[in-house]
Amino acid sequence: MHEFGAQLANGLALGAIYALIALGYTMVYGIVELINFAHGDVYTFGSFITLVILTALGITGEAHGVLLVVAVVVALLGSALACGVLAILIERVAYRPLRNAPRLAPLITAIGVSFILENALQLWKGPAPITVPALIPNPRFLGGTFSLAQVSVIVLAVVTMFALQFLVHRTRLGMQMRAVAQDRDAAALVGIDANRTIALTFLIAGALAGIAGMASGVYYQSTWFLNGFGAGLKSFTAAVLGGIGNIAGAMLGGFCIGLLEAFTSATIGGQWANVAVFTVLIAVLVIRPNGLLGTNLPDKL
Amino acid sequence: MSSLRIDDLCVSYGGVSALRHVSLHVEQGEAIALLGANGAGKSSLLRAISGLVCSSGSIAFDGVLLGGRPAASIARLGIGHVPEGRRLFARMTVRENLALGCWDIGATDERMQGVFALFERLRERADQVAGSLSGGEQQMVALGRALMGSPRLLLLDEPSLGLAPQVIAMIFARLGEIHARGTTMIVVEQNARAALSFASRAYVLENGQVVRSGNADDLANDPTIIDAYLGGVIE
Ligand SMILES: Nc1ncnc2c1ncn2[C@@H]1O[C@H](COP(=O)(O)OP(=O)(O)OP(=O)(O)O)[C@@H](O)[C@H]1O
Ligand SMILES: [Mg+2]
Repeated sequence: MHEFGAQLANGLALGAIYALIALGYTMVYGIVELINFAHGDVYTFGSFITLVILTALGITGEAHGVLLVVAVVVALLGSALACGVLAILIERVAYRPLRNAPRLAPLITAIGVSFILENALQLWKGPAPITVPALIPNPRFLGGTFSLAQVSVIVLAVVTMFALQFLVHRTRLGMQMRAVAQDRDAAALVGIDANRTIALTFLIAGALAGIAGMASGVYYQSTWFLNGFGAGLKSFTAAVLGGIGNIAGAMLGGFCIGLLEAFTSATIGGQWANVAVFTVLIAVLVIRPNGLLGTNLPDKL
Repeated sequence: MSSLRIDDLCVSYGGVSALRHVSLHVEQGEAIALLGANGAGKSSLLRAISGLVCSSGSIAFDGVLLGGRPAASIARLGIGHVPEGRRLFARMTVRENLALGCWDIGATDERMQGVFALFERLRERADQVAGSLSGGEQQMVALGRALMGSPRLLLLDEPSLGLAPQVIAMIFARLGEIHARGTTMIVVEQNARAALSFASRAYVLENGQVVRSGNADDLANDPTIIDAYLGGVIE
Protein backbone atom coordinates (compact mmCIF):
# COMPACT_ATOMS: atom_id res chain seq x y z
CA MET A 1 0.00 0.00 0.00
CA HIS A 2 2.83 2.36 0.82
CA GLU A 3 4.42 1.45 -2.49
CA PHE A 4 1.16 2.24 -4.25
CA GLY A 5 1.06 5.68 -2.65
CA ALA A 6 4.65 6.37 -3.63
CA GLN A 7 4.05 5.42 -7.26
CA LEU A 8 0.85 7.47 -7.30
CA ALA A 9 2.87 10.48 -6.18
CA ASN A 10 5.64 9.78 -8.71
CA GLY A 11 3.17 9.23 -11.51
CA LEU A 12 1.16 12.36 -10.83
CA ALA A 13 4.27 14.53 -10.59
CA LEU A 14 5.71 13.07 -13.79
CA GLY A 15 2.28 13.39 -15.42
CA ALA A 16 2.07 17.03 -14.35
CA ILE A 17 5.28 17.77 -16.23
CA TYR A 18 4.08 15.87 -19.31
CA ALA A 19 0.81 17.76 -19.05
CA LEU A 20 2.54 21.17 -18.98
CA ILE A 21 4.53 20.26 -22.10
CA ALA A 22 1.48 18.70 -23.78
CA LEU A 23 -0.45 21.96 -23.32
CA GLY A 24 2.11 23.67 -25.56
CA TYR A 25 1.86 21.03 -28.27
CA THR A 26 -1.90 21.29 -28.19
CA MET A 27 -2.02 25.09 -28.28
CA VAL A 28 0.30 25.28 -31.27
CA TYR A 29 -1.41 22.43 -33.09
CA GLY A 30 -4.76 24.03 -32.39
CA ILE A 31 -3.86 27.25 -34.15
CA VAL A 32 -1.49 26.24 -36.98
CA GLU A 33 -1.99 22.46 -37.21
CA LEU A 34 1.72 21.96 -36.78
CA ILE A 35 3.41 19.38 -34.58
CA ASN A 36 6.13 21.58 -33.17
CA PHE A 37 8.89 19.00 -32.80
CA ALA A 38 11.20 21.62 -31.33
CA HIS A 39 8.87 22.04 -28.34
CA GLY A 40 10.61 19.36 -26.25
CA ASP A 41 13.93 21.13 -26.72
CA VAL A 42 12.44 24.43 -25.64
CA TYR A 43 11.54 22.57 -22.45
CA THR A 44 15.17 21.47 -22.05
CA PHE A 45 16.23 25.08 -22.58
CA GLY A 46 13.94 25.98 -19.67
CA SER A 47 15.72 23.60 -17.33
CA PHE A 48 19.10 25.04 -18.40
CA ILE A 49 17.88 28.59 -17.82
CA THR A 50 16.61 27.52 -14.41
CA LEU A 51 20.06 26.21 -13.57
CA VAL A 52 21.61 29.50 -14.70
CA ILE A 53 19.17 31.49 -12.56
CA LEU A 54 19.63 29.35 -9.47
CA THR A 55 23.40 29.55 -9.85
CA ALA A 56 23.20 33.32 -10.25
CA LEU A 57 21.16 33.49 -7.03
CA GLY A 58 23.91 31.51 -5.30
CA ILE A 59 21.62 28.57 -4.59
CA THR A 60 23.34 25.22 -4.32
CA GLY A 61 20.80 23.16 -2.35
CA GLU A 62 17.51 23.46 -0.46
CA ALA A 63 16.40 27.01 0.14
CA HIS A 64 14.06 28.24 2.87
CA GLY A 65 11.76 31.15 3.67
CA VAL A 66 12.02 34.28 1.57
CA LEU A 67 14.92 32.95 -0.46
CA LEU A 68 12.91 29.88 -1.45
CA VAL A 69 9.98 31.99 -2.60
CA VAL A 70 12.20 34.42 -4.48
CA ALA A 71 14.15 31.60 -6.12
CA VAL A 72 11.02 29.76 -7.23
CA VAL A 73 9.35 32.89 -8.60
CA VAL A 74 12.43 34.19 -10.39
CA ALA A 75 13.31 30.79 -11.85
CA LEU A 76 9.72 30.18 -13.02
CA LEU A 77 9.28 33.61 -14.57
CA GLY A 78 12.78 33.72 -16.02
CA SER A 79 12.49 30.29 -17.57
CA ALA A 80 8.99 30.99 -18.88
CA LEU A 81 10.09 34.27 -20.42
CA ALA A 82 13.26 32.89 -21.98
CA CYS A 83 11.42 29.90 -23.45
CA GLY A 84 8.55 32.07 -24.65
CA VAL A 85 10.96 34.32 -26.51
CA LEU A 86 12.80 31.31 -27.94
CA ALA A 87 9.50 29.84 -29.19
CA ILE A 88 8.57 33.14 -30.86
CA LEU A 89 11.96 33.23 -32.57
CA ILE A 90 11.53 29.66 -33.80
CA GLU A 91 8.11 30.48 -35.20
CA ARG A 92 9.36 33.62 -36.89
CA VAL A 93 12.39 32.00 -38.50
CA ALA A 94 11.30 28.44 -39.22
CA TYR A 95 7.52 28.31 -39.48
CA ARG A 96 6.12 31.66 -40.55
CA PRO A 97 7.92 31.73 -43.91
CA LEU A 98 6.25 28.36 -44.62
CA ARG A 99 2.78 29.39 -43.47
CA ASN A 100 1.28 28.74 -46.89
CA ALA A 101 3.58 25.90 -47.92
CA PRO A 102 2.38 22.28 -47.98
CA ARG A 103 1.90 20.88 -44.48
CA LEU A 104 4.94 18.62 -44.71
CA ALA A 105 7.40 21.51 -45.12
CA PRO A 106 7.09 23.09 -41.65
CA LEU A 107 7.06 19.60 -40.15
CA ILE A 108 10.51 19.04 -41.63
CA THR A 109 11.82 22.43 -40.49
CA ALA A 110 10.45 21.60 -37.02
CA ILE A 111 12.60 18.49 -36.93
CA GLY A 112 15.53 20.56 -38.18
CA VAL A 113 15.05 23.18 -35.47
CA SER A 114 14.91 20.40 -32.91
CA PHE A 115 18.31 19.09 -34.05
CA ILE A 116 19.79 22.58 -34.03
CA LEU A 117 18.56 23.26 -30.50
CA GLU A 118 19.79 19.91 -29.21
CA ASN A 119 23.23 20.54 -30.66
CA ALA A 120 23.32 24.08 -29.33
CA LEU A 121 22.35 22.85 -25.86
CA GLN A 122 25.05 20.21 -26.03
CA LEU A 123 27.65 22.80 -27.03
CA TRP A 124 26.52 24.93 -24.13
CA LYS A 125 26.51 22.41 -21.28
CA GLY A 126 28.21 19.33 -22.67
CA PRO A 127 26.87 15.85 -23.33
CA ALA A 128 26.71 14.63 -19.72
CA PRO A 129 23.78 14.89 -17.28
CA ILE A 130 23.86 18.08 -15.22
CA THR A 131 22.84 18.41 -11.57
CA VAL A 132 20.26 21.04 -10.69
CA PRO A 133 20.18 22.25 -7.05
CA ALA A 134 17.47 20.58 -4.95
CA LEU A 135 15.95 23.96 -4.02
CA ILE A 136 12.62 22.63 -2.64
CA PRO A 137 12.82 21.36 1.00
CA ASN A 138 11.30 18.00 1.71
CA PRO A 139 8.29 18.18 4.05
CA ARG A 140 5.82 15.37 3.36
CA PHE A 141 2.05 15.39 2.99
CA LEU A 142 -0.74 12.81 3.21
CA GLY A 143 0.94 10.38 5.58
CA GLY A 144 4.33 11.04 4.12
CA THR A 145 3.36 9.93 0.62
CA PHE A 146 3.79 13.20 -1.28
CA SER A 147 6.84 15.44 -1.04
CA LEU A 148 6.51 19.22 -1.20
CA ALA A 149 8.18 19.18 -4.61
CA GLN A 150 5.62 16.69 -5.94
CA VAL A 151 2.65 18.61 -4.56
CA SER A 152 4.06 21.85 -6.00
CA VAL A 153 4.55 20.39 -9.46
CA ILE A 154 1.04 18.91 -9.52
CA VAL A 155 -0.61 22.09 -8.25
CA LEU A 156 1.42 24.16 -10.71
CA ALA A 157 0.21 22.06 -13.65
CA VAL A 158 -3.44 22.12 -12.59
CA VAL A 159 -3.44 25.86 -11.90
CA THR A 160 -1.72 26.50 -15.24
CA MET A 161 -4.33 24.45 -17.06
CA PHE A 162 -7.18 26.42 -15.52
CA ALA A 163 -5.41 29.68 -16.30
CA LEU A 164 -5.04 28.55 -19.90
CA GLN A 165 -8.70 27.54 -20.12
CA PHE A 166 -9.61 30.97 -18.84
CA LEU A 167 -7.30 32.66 -21.33
CA VAL A 168 -8.61 30.72 -24.31
CA HIS A 169 -12.31 30.84 -23.47
CA ARG A 170 -12.77 34.05 -21.53
CA THR A 171 -10.39 36.66 -22.87
CA ARG A 172 -10.29 38.60 -26.07
CA LEU A 173 -6.89 37.20 -27.00
CA GLY A 174 -8.26 33.68 -26.51
CA MET A 175 -11.24 34.50 -28.67
CA GLN A 176 -8.90 35.80 -31.37
CA MET A 177 -6.79 32.66 -31.09
CA ARG A 178 -9.85 30.49 -31.61
CA ALA A 179 -10.96 32.66 -34.52
CA VAL A 180 -7.59 32.35 -36.27
CA ALA A 181 -7.63 28.60 -35.59
CA GLN A 182 -11.07 28.19 -37.13
CA ASP A 183 -10.81 30.42 -40.19
CA ARG A 184 -7.77 32.58 -40.83
CA ASP A 185 -9.29 34.54 -43.73
CA ALA A 186 -12.46 35.30 -41.81
CA ALA A 187 -10.32 36.40 -38.86
CA ALA A 188 -8.38 38.76 -41.13
CA LEU A 189 -11.67 40.22 -42.41
CA VAL A 190 -12.54 41.28 -38.86
CA GLY A 191 -9.17 42.92 -38.41
CA ILE A 192 -7.36 40.18 -36.51
CA ASP A 193 -3.62 40.11 -37.19
CA ALA A 194 -2.99 36.37 -37.55
CA ASN A 195 0.80 36.77 -37.38
CA ARG A 196 0.55 38.50 -34.03
CA THR A 197 -2.00 36.02 -32.69
CA ILE A 198 0.07 33.04 -33.78
CA ALA A 199 3.25 34.58 -32.33
CA LEU A 200 1.46 35.09 -28.99
CA THR A 201 0.32 31.46 -29.08
CA PHE A 202 3.94 30.38 -29.51
CA LEU A 203 4.93 32.72 -26.68
CA ILE A 204 2.41 31.06 -24.38
CA ALA A 205 3.34 27.53 -25.48
CA GLY A 206 7.02 28.33 -24.99
CA ALA A 207 6.35 29.82 -21.56
CA LEU A 208 4.51 26.62 -20.58
CA ALA A 209 7.53 24.58 -21.70
CA GLY A 210 9.71 26.91 -19.63
CA ILE A 211 7.52 26.34 -16.57
CA ALA A 212 7.73 22.59 -17.18
CA GLY A 213 11.51 22.79 -17.62
CA MET A 214 11.91 24.66 -14.34
CA ALA A 215 9.60 22.23 -12.53
CA SER A 216 11.28 19.11 -13.81
CA GLY A 217 14.80 20.46 -13.31
CA VAL A 218 14.11 21.26 -9.68
CA TYR A 219 12.01 18.15 -9.04
CA TYR A 220 14.41 15.62 -10.59
CA GLN A 221 17.45 17.74 -9.73
CA SER A 222 18.95 16.92 -13.07
CA THR A 223 18.75 17.66 -16.77
CA TRP A 224 20.82 17.17 -19.92
CA PHE A 225 20.79 18.34 -23.48
CA LEU A 226 18.49 15.55 -24.69
CA ASN A 227 16.11 15.87 -21.75
CA GLY A 228 13.33 17.10 -23.99
CA PHE A 229 13.60 14.36 -26.57
CA GLY A 230 11.89 11.61 -24.60
CA ALA A 231 9.76 13.95 -22.53
CA GLY A 232 8.66 15.75 -25.69
CA LEU A 233 7.67 12.51 -27.38
CA LYS A 234 5.76 11.34 -24.32
CA SER A 235 4.03 14.70 -23.96
CA PHE A 236 3.09 14.77 -27.60
CA THR A 237 1.63 11.31 -27.05
CA ALA A 238 -0.25 12.72 -24.05
CA ALA A 239 -1.71 15.48 -26.20
CA VAL A 240 -2.85 12.95 -28.82
CA LEU A 241 -4.18 10.59 -26.16
CA GLY A 242 -6.28 13.38 -24.62
CA GLY A 243 -7.37 14.72 -28.02
CA ILE A 244 -4.96 17.10 -29.76
CA GLY A 245 -6.17 20.69 -29.68
CA ASN A 246 -8.03 20.08 -26.44
CA ILE A 247 -6.65 21.76 -23.32
CA ALA A 248 -8.28 19.53 -20.71
CA GLY A 249 -7.37 16.55 -22.89
CA ALA A 250 -3.67 17.46 -22.78
CA MET A 251 -3.81 17.55 -19.00
CA LEU A 252 -5.71 14.27 -18.75
CA GLY A 253 -3.37 12.60 -21.24
CA GLY A 254 -0.34 13.86 -19.34
CA PHE A 255 -1.52 12.46 -16.03
CA CYS A 256 -2.54 9.14 -17.63
CA ILE A 257 0.86 8.67 -19.19
CA GLY A 258 2.73 9.75 -16.07
CA LEU A 259 0.79 7.28 -13.92
CA LEU A 260 1.12 4.51 -16.46
CA GLU A 261 4.86 5.04 -16.69
CA ALA A 262 5.32 5.13 -12.91
CA PHE A 263 3.27 2.00 -12.23
CA THR A 264 4.75 0.03 -15.12
CA SER A 265 8.25 0.90 -13.97
CA ALA A 266 7.47 -0.12 -10.40
CA THR A 267 5.78 -3.41 -11.26
CA ILE A 268 7.07 -4.84 -14.53
CA GLY A 269 10.21 -2.78 -14.93
CA GLY A 270 11.33 0.55 -16.35
CA GLN A 271 12.24 -0.89 -19.73
CA TRP A 272 8.55 -1.68 -20.29
CA ALA A 273 7.30 1.84 -19.56
CA ASN A 274 7.41 3.04 -23.17
CA VAL A 275 5.83 -0.18 -24.40
CA ALA A 276 2.96 0.29 -21.97
CA VAL A 277 2.51 3.95 -22.89
CA PHE A 278 2.33 3.32 -26.62
CA THR A 279 0.20 0.20 -26.26
CA VAL A 280 -2.37 2.23 -24.37
CA LEU A 281 -2.12 5.03 -26.93
CA ILE A 282 -2.83 2.64 -29.78
CA ALA A 283 -5.65 0.95 -27.90
CA VAL A 284 -7.30 4.28 -27.11
CA LEU A 285 -6.93 5.58 -30.66
CA VAL A 286 -8.48 2.41 -32.08
CA ILE A 287 -11.55 2.95 -29.92
CA ARG A 288 -11.54 6.74 -29.95
CA PRO A 289 -9.59 8.01 -32.98
CA ASN A 290 -9.83 11.60 -31.78
CA GLY A 291 -8.46 10.86 -28.32
CA LEU A 292 -10.14 10.73 -24.94
CA LEU A 293 -11.68 14.21 -25.02
CA GLY A 294 -11.40 14.94 -28.74
CA THR A 295 -14.46 15.49 -30.88
CA ASN A 296 -15.26 14.53 -34.44
CA LEU A 297 -14.66 18.03 -35.65
CA PRO A 298 -11.15 18.79 -36.79
CA ASP A 299 -10.40 19.64 -33.20
CA LYS A 300 -8.92 23.05 -32.88
CA LEU A 301 -8.76 25.10 -29.72
CA MET B 1 -15.71 60.55 -48.53
CA SER B 2 -15.68 56.74 -48.62
CA SER B 3 -15.10 56.16 -52.27
CA LEU B 4 -13.35 53.27 -53.91
CA ARG B 5 -11.28 53.53 -57.05
CA ILE B 6 -9.94 50.44 -58.80
CA ASP B 7 -7.57 50.75 -61.73
CA ASP B 8 -6.29 48.05 -64.03
CA LEU B 9 -6.70 45.33 -61.41
CA CYS B 10 -5.39 41.87 -62.28
CA VAL B 11 -5.61 38.75 -60.12
CA SER B 12 -4.32 35.33 -60.97
CA TYR B 13 -4.09 32.06 -59.11
CA GLY B 14 -0.87 30.27 -59.94
CA GLY B 15 -0.83 31.41 -63.56
CA VAL B 16 -4.58 31.10 -64.12
CA SER B 17 -5.93 34.59 -64.42
CA ALA B 18 -9.18 35.39 -62.62
CA LEU B 19 -9.37 39.14 -63.16
CA ARG B 20 -7.96 41.03 -66.12
CA HIS B 21 -7.51 44.79 -66.20
CA VAL B 22 -10.59 45.60 -64.19
CA SER B 23 -11.30 49.27 -63.50
CA LEU B 24 -14.27 50.52 -61.57
CA HIS B 25 -15.26 53.12 -59.06
CA VAL B 26 -17.79 53.43 -56.30
CA GLU B 27 -18.74 56.85 -55.01
CA GLN B 28 -19.44 57.75 -51.41
CA GLY B 29 -22.87 56.48 -50.36
CA GLU B 30 -23.46 54.51 -53.53
CA ALA B 31 -24.67 50.91 -53.69
CA ILE B 32 -23.44 49.06 -56.74
CA ALA B 33 -24.11 45.55 -57.95
CA LEU B 34 -21.56 43.19 -59.41
CA LEU B 35 -23.05 40.57 -61.70
CA GLY B 36 -21.55 37.66 -63.51
CA ALA B 37 -21.76 33.95 -64.08
CA ASN B 38 -20.02 31.36 -61.90
CA GLY B 39 -16.29 31.81 -62.12
CA ALA B 40 -16.53 35.29 -63.63
CA GLY B 41 -14.27 36.67 -60.90
CA LYS B 42 -16.74 38.43 -58.62
CA SER B 43 -15.42 36.95 -55.39
CA SER B 44 -11.87 37.46 -56.56
CA LEU B 45 -12.58 41.15 -56.97
CA LEU B 46 -13.91 41.48 -53.41
CA ARG B 47 -11.06 39.38 -52.05
CA ALA B 48 -8.55 41.59 -53.83
CA ILE B 49 -10.10 44.70 -52.27
CA SER B 50 -9.88 43.10 -48.83
CA GLY B 51 -6.30 42.00 -49.36
CA LEU B 52 -7.05 38.29 -49.18
CA VAL B 53 -5.49 37.68 -52.60
CA CYS B 54 -2.51 39.35 -54.21
CA SER B 55 -3.30 41.63 -57.10
CA SER B 56 -1.62 44.06 -59.42
CA GLY B 57 -3.02 47.41 -60.45
CA SER B 58 -4.27 49.89 -57.91
CA ILE B 59 -7.05 50.01 -55.38
CA ALA B 60 -7.61 53.24 -53.51
CA PHE B 61 -10.05 53.66 -50.64
CA ASP B 62 -10.66 57.28 -49.70
CA GLY B 63 -7.43 58.08 -51.48
CA VAL B 64 -5.45 55.50 -49.50
CA LEU B 65 -3.74 52.90 -51.67
CA LEU B 66 -4.51 49.40 -50.36
CA GLY B 67 -1.81 47.57 -52.32
CA GLY B 68 0.53 45.59 -50.09
CA ARG B 69 -1.46 46.16 -46.91
CA PRO B 70 -2.32 43.06 -44.90
CA ALA B 71 -6.00 42.10 -44.88
CA ALA B 72 -6.42 42.84 -41.18
CA SER B 73 -5.28 46.43 -41.63
CA ILE B 74 -7.56 46.93 -44.65
CA ALA B 75 -10.51 45.80 -42.55
CA ARG B 76 -9.55 48.33 -39.91
CA LEU B 77 -9.59 51.13 -42.48
CA GLY B 78 -13.35 50.67 -42.52
CA ILE B 79 -13.97 48.02 -45.17
CA GLY B 80 -16.41 45.34 -44.01
CA HIS B 81 -16.61 42.13 -46.00
CA VAL B 82 -19.36 39.53 -45.72
CA PRO B 83 -17.65 36.65 -47.48
CA GLU B 84 -19.13 34.07 -49.79
CA GLY B 85 -20.40 31.15 -47.75
CA ARG B 86 -20.58 33.38 -44.64
CA ARG B 87 -17.43 31.96 -43.04
CA LEU B 88 -18.63 32.27 -39.46
CA PHE B 89 -16.54 31.02 -36.57
CA ALA B 90 -18.78 28.00 -36.43
CA ARG B 91 -17.78 26.68 -33.02
CA MET B 92 -18.14 30.03 -31.32
CA THR B 93 -21.32 31.65 -30.08
CA VAL B 94 -23.22 34.36 -31.94
CA ARG B 95 -22.12 36.83 -29.27
CA GLU B 96 -18.46 35.88 -29.72
CA ASN B 97 -18.73 36.11 -33.50
CA LEU B 98 -20.17 39.58 -33.20
CA ALA B 99 -17.69 40.70 -30.52
CA LEU B 100 -14.81 39.62 -32.75
CA GLY B 101 -16.10 41.96 -35.44
CA CYS B 102 -15.47 44.99 -33.25
CA TRP B 103 -11.90 46.11 -32.57
CA ASP B 104 -12.97 49.27 -30.81
CA ILE B 105 -13.57 47.33 -27.59
CA GLY B 106 -15.39 50.15 -25.80
CA ALA B 107 -18.03 50.27 -28.53
CA THR B 108 -18.76 46.53 -28.54
CA ASP B 109 -21.91 46.53 -26.39
CA GLU B 110 -23.50 49.46 -28.12
CA ARG B 111 -22.86 48.10 -31.60
CA MET B 112 -24.06 44.65 -30.60
CA GLN B 113 -27.32 46.18 -29.45
CA GLY B 114 -27.50 47.86 -32.84
CA VAL B 115 -27.09 44.50 -34.58
CA PHE B 116 -29.74 42.93 -32.33
CA ALA B 117 -32.08 45.81 -33.15
CA LEU B 118 -31.59 45.07 -36.84
CA PHE B 119 -31.95 41.30 -36.42
CA GLU B 120 -34.13 40.58 -33.38
CA ARG B 121 -33.69 36.88 -34.04
CA LEU B 122 -30.04 37.04 -33.06
CA ARG B 123 -30.80 38.40 -29.62
CA GLU B 124 -32.53 35.12 -28.72
CA ARG B 125 -29.74 33.13 -30.32
CA ALA B 126 -26.89 35.14 -28.79
CA ASP B 127 -25.42 32.30 -26.74
CA GLN B 128 -25.97 29.59 -29.32
CA VAL B 129 -23.05 28.21 -31.29
CA ALA B 130 -23.03 29.85 -34.73
CA GLY B 131 -22.64 26.55 -36.59
CA SER B 132 -25.98 25.37 -35.22
CA LEU B 133 -28.00 28.24 -36.71
CA SER B 134 -30.15 28.10 -39.82
CA GLY B 135 -28.73 29.46 -43.06
CA GLY B 136 -30.69 32.67 -42.79
CA GLU B 137 -29.65 33.23 -39.20
CA GLN B 138 -26.04 32.57 -40.14
CA GLN B 139 -26.26 35.18 -42.86
CA MET B 140 -27.58 37.64 -40.28
CA VAL B 141 -24.60 36.88 -38.04
CA ALA B 142 -22.19 37.29 -40.96
CA LEU B 143 -23.72 40.64 -41.78
CA GLY B 144 -23.85 41.63 -38.12
CA ARG B 145 -20.21 40.68 -37.64
CA ALA B 146 -19.19 42.95 -40.51
CA LEU B 147 -21.36 45.78 -39.14
CA MET B 148 -19.64 45.49 -35.75
CA GLY B 149 -16.59 47.07 -37.34
CA SER B 150 -18.71 50.08 -38.28
CA PRO B 151 -17.60 49.90 -41.92
CA ARG B 152 -17.85 52.82 -44.32
CA LEU B 153 -17.66 50.44 -47.25
CA LEU B 154 -19.46 47.10 -47.08
CA LEU B 155 -18.62 44.26 -49.49
CA LEU B 156 -21.34 41.62 -49.75
CA ASP B 157 -20.60 38.35 -51.53
CA GLU B 158 -23.85 36.63 -52.46
CA PRO B 159 -25.85 37.47 -49.33
CA SER B 160 -28.87 35.65 -50.74
CA LEU B 161 -27.07 32.36 -51.38
CA GLY B 162 -29.19 29.39 -50.40
CA LEU B 163 -31.87 31.41 -48.62
CA ALA B 164 -35.66 31.28 -48.91
CA PRO B 165 -37.35 34.17 -50.76
CA GLN B 166 -38.81 35.76 -47.62
CA VAL B 167 -35.42 35.70 -45.94
CA ILE B 168 -33.79 37.21 -49.02
CA ALA B 169 -36.36 39.99 -48.99
CA MET B 170 -35.73 40.60 -45.31
CA ILE B 171 -31.93 40.68 -45.76
CA PHE B 172 -32.22 43.15 -48.65
CA ALA B 173 -34.60 45.29 -46.61
CA ARG B 174 -32.01 45.47 -43.84
CA LEU B 175 -29.27 46.20 -46.35
CA GLY B 176 -31.48 49.05 -47.56
CA GLU B 177 -31.62 50.45 -44.01
CA ILE B 178 -27.86 50.17 -43.61
CA HIS B 179 -27.36 51.86 -46.96
CA ALA B 180 -29.77 54.61 -46.03
CA ARG B 181 -27.55 55.42 -43.03
CA GLY B 182 -24.77 56.24 -45.46
CA THR B 183 -22.77 53.03 -45.87
CA THR B 184 -21.27 52.57 -49.32
CA MET B 185 -21.87 49.08 -50.70
CA ILE B 186 -20.82 46.59 -53.33
CA VAL B 187 -23.21 43.66 -53.68
CA VAL B 188 -22.18 40.55 -55.58
CA GLU B 189 -25.17 38.49 -56.57
CA GLN B 190 -26.28 35.51 -58.60
CA ASN B 191 -29.73 36.79 -57.83
CA ALA B 192 -29.41 39.61 -60.37
CA ARG B 193 -33.01 40.73 -60.02
CA ALA B 194 -32.63 41.41 -56.28
CA ALA B 195 -29.27 43.09 -56.82
CA LEU B 196 -30.42 45.33 -59.67
CA SER B 197 -33.45 46.53 -57.78
CA PHE B 198 -31.27 47.27 -54.76
CA ALA B 199 -28.31 48.98 -56.43
CA SER B 200 -28.20 52.18 -58.40
CA ARG B 201 -25.43 51.07 -60.75
CA ALA B 202 -24.01 47.73 -61.79
CA TYR B 203 -20.97 46.17 -63.41
CA VAL B 204 -21.11 42.89 -65.30
CA LEU B 205 -18.07 40.63 -65.20
CA GLU B 206 -17.34 37.94 -67.74
CA ASN B 207 -14.20 35.82 -67.68
CA GLY B 208 -12.50 38.26 -65.37
CA GLN B 209 -13.29 41.36 -67.38
CA VAL B 210 -15.85 44.12 -67.05
CA VAL B 211 -18.08 43.73 -70.10
CA ARG B 212 -20.93 46.05 -69.19
CA SER B 213 -21.61 48.75 -66.68
CA GLY B 214 -24.29 51.29 -66.19
CA ASN B 215 -27.41 52.36 -64.48
CA ALA B 216 -29.13 49.45 -62.70
CA ASP B 217 -32.53 50.24 -64.23
CA ASP B 218 -31.08 50.37 -67.73
CA LEU B 219 -29.34 47.04 -67.25
CA ALA B 220 -32.49 45.48 -65.79
CA ASN B 221 -34.31 46.33 -69.01
CA ASP B 222 -31.51 45.38 -71.38
CA PRO B 223 -32.45 42.29 -73.44
CA THR B 224 -28.96 40.75 -73.35
CA ILE B 225 -28.77 41.14 -69.58
CA ILE B 226 -32.27 39.78 -69.19
CA ASP B 227 -31.30 36.85 -71.31
CA ALA B 228 -28.06 36.09 -69.49
CA TYR B 229 -28.79 36.96 -65.88
CA LEU B 230 -32.50 37.45 -65.35
CA GLY B 231 -33.65 34.07 -66.64
CA GLY B 232 -34.88 35.49 -69.94
CA VAL B 233 -38.26 36.50 -68.60
CA ILE B 234 -39.40 40.10 -68.36
CA GLU B 235 -41.65 40.63 -65.40
N1 LIG C 1 -8.09 29.79 -54.60
C1 LIG C 1 -8.15 29.63 -55.92
N2 LIG C 1 -7.23 28.90 -56.57
C2 LIG C 1 -7.27 28.73 -57.91
N3 LIG C 1 -8.23 29.27 -58.69
C3 LIG C 1 -9.18 30.00 -58.11
C4 LIG C 1 -9.20 30.21 -56.70
N4 LIG C 1 -10.27 30.98 -56.41
C5 LIG C 1 -10.88 31.21 -57.58
N5 LIG C 1 -10.24 30.64 -58.61
C6 LIG C 1 -10.62 30.71 -60.03
O1 LIG C 1 -10.74 32.06 -60.38
C7 LIG C 1 -11.87 32.27 -61.21
C8 LIG C 1 -12.80 33.28 -60.58
O2 LIG C 1 -13.29 32.77 -59.36
P1 LIG C 1 -14.25 33.59 -58.42
O3 LIG C 1 -14.45 32.79 -57.18
O4 LIG C 1 -13.72 34.95 -58.27
O5 LIG C 1 -15.59 33.61 -59.26
P2 LIG C 1 -17.04 34.08 -58.87
O6 LIG C 1 -17.46 35.02 -59.90
O7 LIG C 1 -17.08 34.54 -57.46
O8 LIG C 1 -17.85 32.72 -59.03
P3 LIG C 1 -19.09 32.16 -58.18
O9 LIG C 1 -20.29 32.82 -58.70
O10 LIG C 1 -19.09 30.70 -58.50
O11 LIG C 1 -18.82 32.42 -56.75
C9 LIG C 1 -12.50 30.91 -61.39
O12 LIG C 1 -12.07 30.40 -62.61
C10 LIG C 1 -11.95 30.08 -60.28
O13 LIG C 1 -11.83 28.74 -60.64
MG1 LIG D 1 -17.96 33.89 -55.81
